[in-house]
Amino acid sequence: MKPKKSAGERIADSIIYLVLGIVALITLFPIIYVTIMSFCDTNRYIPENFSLGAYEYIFSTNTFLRSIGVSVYITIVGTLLSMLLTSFMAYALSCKQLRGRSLILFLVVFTMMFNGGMIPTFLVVKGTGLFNSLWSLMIPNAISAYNMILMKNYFQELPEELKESARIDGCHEIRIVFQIILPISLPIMATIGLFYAVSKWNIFMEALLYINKNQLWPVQVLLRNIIFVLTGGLGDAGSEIYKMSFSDESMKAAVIVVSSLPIVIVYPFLQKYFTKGLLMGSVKG
Amino acid sequence: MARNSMTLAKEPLWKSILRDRWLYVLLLPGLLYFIIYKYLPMFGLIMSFQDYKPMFGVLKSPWVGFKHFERFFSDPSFFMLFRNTLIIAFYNLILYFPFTIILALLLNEVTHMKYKRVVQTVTYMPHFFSWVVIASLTYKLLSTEVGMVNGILELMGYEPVNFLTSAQWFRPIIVFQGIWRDLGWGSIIFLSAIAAIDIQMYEVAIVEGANRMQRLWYVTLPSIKGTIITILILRLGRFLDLGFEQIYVQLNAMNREVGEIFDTYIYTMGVVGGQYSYNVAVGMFKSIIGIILVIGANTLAHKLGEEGVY
Amino acid sequence: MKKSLRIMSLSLCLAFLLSLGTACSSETEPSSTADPSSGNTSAGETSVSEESSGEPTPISMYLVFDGVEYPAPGNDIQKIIEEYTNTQLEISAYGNYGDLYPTMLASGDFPDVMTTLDLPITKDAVRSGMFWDIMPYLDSTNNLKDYHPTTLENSTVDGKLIGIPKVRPLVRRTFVYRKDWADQLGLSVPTNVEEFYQFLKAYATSDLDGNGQQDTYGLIADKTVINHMCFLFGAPNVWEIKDGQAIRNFTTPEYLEGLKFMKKLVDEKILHPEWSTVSRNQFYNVFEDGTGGVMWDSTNAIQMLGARVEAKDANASVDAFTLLTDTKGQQRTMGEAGHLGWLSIPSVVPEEKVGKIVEFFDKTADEEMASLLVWGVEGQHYNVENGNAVPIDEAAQNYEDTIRYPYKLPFSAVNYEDYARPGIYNKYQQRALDIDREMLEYMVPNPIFPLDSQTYFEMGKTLDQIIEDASIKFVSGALDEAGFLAEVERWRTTGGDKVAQEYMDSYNAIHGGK
Repeated sequence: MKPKKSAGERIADSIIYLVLGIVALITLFPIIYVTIMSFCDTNRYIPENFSLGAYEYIFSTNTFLRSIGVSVYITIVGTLLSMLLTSFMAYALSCKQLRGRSLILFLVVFTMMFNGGMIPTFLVVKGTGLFNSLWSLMIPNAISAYNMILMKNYFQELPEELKESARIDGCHEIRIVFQIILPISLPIMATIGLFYAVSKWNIFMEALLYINKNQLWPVQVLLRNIIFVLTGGLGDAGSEIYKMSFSDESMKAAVIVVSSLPIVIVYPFLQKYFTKGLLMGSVKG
Repeated sequence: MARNSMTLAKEPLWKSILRDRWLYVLLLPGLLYFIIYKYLPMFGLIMSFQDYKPMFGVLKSPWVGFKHFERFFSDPSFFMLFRNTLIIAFYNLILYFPFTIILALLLNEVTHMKYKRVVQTVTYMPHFFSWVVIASLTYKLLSTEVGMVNGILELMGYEPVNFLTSAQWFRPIIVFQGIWRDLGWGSIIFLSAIAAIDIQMYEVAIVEGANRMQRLWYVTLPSIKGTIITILILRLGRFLDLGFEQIYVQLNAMNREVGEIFDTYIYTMGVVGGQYSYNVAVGMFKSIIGIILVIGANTLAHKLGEEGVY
Repeated sequence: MKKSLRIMSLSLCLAFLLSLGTACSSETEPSSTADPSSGNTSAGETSVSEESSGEPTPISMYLVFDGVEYPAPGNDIQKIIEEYTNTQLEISAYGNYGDLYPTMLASGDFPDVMTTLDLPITKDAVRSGMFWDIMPYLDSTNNLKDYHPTTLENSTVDGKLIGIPKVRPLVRRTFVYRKDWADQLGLSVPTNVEEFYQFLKAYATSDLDGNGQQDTYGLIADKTVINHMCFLFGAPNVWEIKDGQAIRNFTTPEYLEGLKFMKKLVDEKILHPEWSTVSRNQFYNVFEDGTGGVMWDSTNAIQMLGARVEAKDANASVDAFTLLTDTKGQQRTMGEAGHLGWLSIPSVVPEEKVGKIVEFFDKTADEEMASLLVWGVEGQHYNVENGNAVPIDEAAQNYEDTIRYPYKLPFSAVNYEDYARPGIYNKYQQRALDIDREMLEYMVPNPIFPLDSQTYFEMGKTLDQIIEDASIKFVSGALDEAGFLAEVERWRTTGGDKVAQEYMDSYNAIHGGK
């Protein structure tokens, strides 16, 4: 059922490809530049002095492996926990007959504008016994109001007959969520999962505030420390890294690469869930 | 609230609760979460009516009424800050936000899957660049000393342009950086909304002879309208929250009159200066503007027959 | 059936992962609960274990850390320190302490020793009684009693000592220059402002890096140089108390002279044109690349700049000059705070422990400990030749990573070099130490450090910003003299005059003036 493309369509196609190509190039250029910078000196326009020194330095730090382990752990467990709580709440709120639904939604949106700030949140985190535990990086930010509302919207637009037929079959709601809803919601699950994973991976300030054991800090703390030291720190130390075989710029670039690569490569794997037709297949099947 | 809805509802409250008991079970963990970690800390907001001293805590710090708000509104810089914040926020809204939708729509038209994925991934990557690095890339590109752009201008016989220390270039640079960094990131949610469209609708449209523009106009856009409106409303709630770090690292004496915003202004006073109460008061001001915009936009959406966010 | 199986396995997976979480956190839990001195336990508990003297005193601390990785607890160096001082340390070390500090202070979650920063909130906290006054404890110490009176004065609020000062030199601003270029051009070190100008100009107008172009700058400095430049023309060291009035430097005609001088340097392309926007750290690359002849910095940077320049060019070397006779013929240098924050003891710590904590820092200045902090471990980091400690080059990095960054710099309770055994310093280090000592007698202190102004507390940053921006605009030509004076007037009316008055009142209260 593929209609032949008219000349007009083909021109439109080439314009679209061209525009996207240009956008991609504009975006790509600095990315490539930073990647090159992480291997070379770029104080002048032309890169010179190829060196792996910056990466060797990062990987040779004693805490690198352990802290990346912490990051991976809080990203995986934290994302699973968030997805579970978020999808439960989003599903419940997507059912229009639920009493108090509108009020609850408003109160959720309200928290996006009003929050108590760092100090009271810190006190609550401490009060709920999470201080100095990795849970402090996963529980206090378990549900993002933004993500929850997006998910709720998605659930709401699913065909009502689906849920109805499930209820008639005698499934109770928790089983409906797992059995019917989640499998046909892969695009939104992939999206929100990505949003959560990225936010957990980037956790930094909370780690310093809620955990005073250096050994439990995620990798972002280590990487930011390297940058912080490069930019002079608070005191008189000067820069420890000046004696190394790479420049400050290389180090900053390498930190970008190391801190973003693991989470960047997640995205292409999720992209297949953004393909049209998934929904159809499941509904029919 | 419960009582009100009981009088309005067709069936008794207990009956509907009993019927939906499993829904409430699903709702419970989320509710607890919001109560404990979002609403409990809000007691901190009363700090804005106090002279908060860490030693005494919220309970014993002295009350000062609206002192901090008065100080804020009577600050000679207030209107400059309000203006600068509004202008940048407005540019972001009319430029960045539509661009993310357009990117998603364009990507949707691409049938070559590899090309689509590459563009998608490439545009997503800059989201992980910290502002410090983006600022230093901008410096390498635009400075008068080492900047590539000025190098090219000079080769072509033009005078170098002071991009980084001029008032008129500041906002374009800030807005462009924002678009560059988050264009792909912002389009993800629309891509997923498009992915959820029932493919049958396109098939029907094609059979009826709809061309590309018509399919876009009559199928794609209406299907993701709900998502667009939701995100627009949620963005309005944070309308005045601009990227603090982005602007802070690029402010200087020459662009401060157009670049200083609420967040950068209170950072030096409130956070570094430790004026906790003042800080909370300014935050509260931004929140109130945000909630007014959200309620307004949501009411409008309801009037237009849309679902809105609540 | 199949589906329910899938659900079951899914939930099992989840349960497993969640239990992993508990396992992981419970694994780490004991270390935090077993140790009574961990930050979140109350002070009451700790006093129990203290009753039996001879037992090591547990001390928990939040320290500022400028290195990359803090060594794990129980490392060899920490053991030596703990053994000597009979303590058991639990250290949390933070890189970007400045961002965390206000929240930590406000949250009231305190260790036994909290690094406090020189910010208005610290003084506010001390005034409300959040920290012990350390002053009464100093007399009974062996080493800490010898603080320079200015350092001590700059560390007090209402006569209370905020904490043990993390000392650094009171005089430290210096001009680091390319010695090899000066020799090449036959230049001698300038002694006054006119010679200084000629010196810079010679650098700027000669092709020193030999690339056939005049593209070197005479002076590299960031925007904080303004006060120093104006000081060379006789302006006060930021503030001055004179004739019963507190005078801010930019209200004086000398300050304007200094700005005009800077404008001349900018116009003649002697000062690096990006001085007002680029940070000092970015300028290190510029200096290292040989794009500038003189870099304005502090004495502790001499060693770093020397090493960086030499790494790029084996024939290069640096030196520094500081004392320039100002245009009025006075020999003087700018005094600074003399400390980089304090090691404060929160008032929740029981009184009997306060003495022990002060004793701990006092002991770090004993010769044995000071030598450890300055030189490292004998045989491992240094050898002794003719009674002098001689560092082992290969161990230098190890010393930095395991001693200097984690312990020496975060403690800094005294200038440890003064208490350590004698030894052979690197030439640049020695130069920095010499400058710090020689310049002390020419110091003009900034009088407002111990003083207090509520207006400054509330809007000081805004006020400072007005003048900084106006000065930069004047130097770059965006503002003329009338425009600058109008900004000074704006500063006065916005709150500057009030700040000056409050400082004066505070000064009178302390010195019992009229």
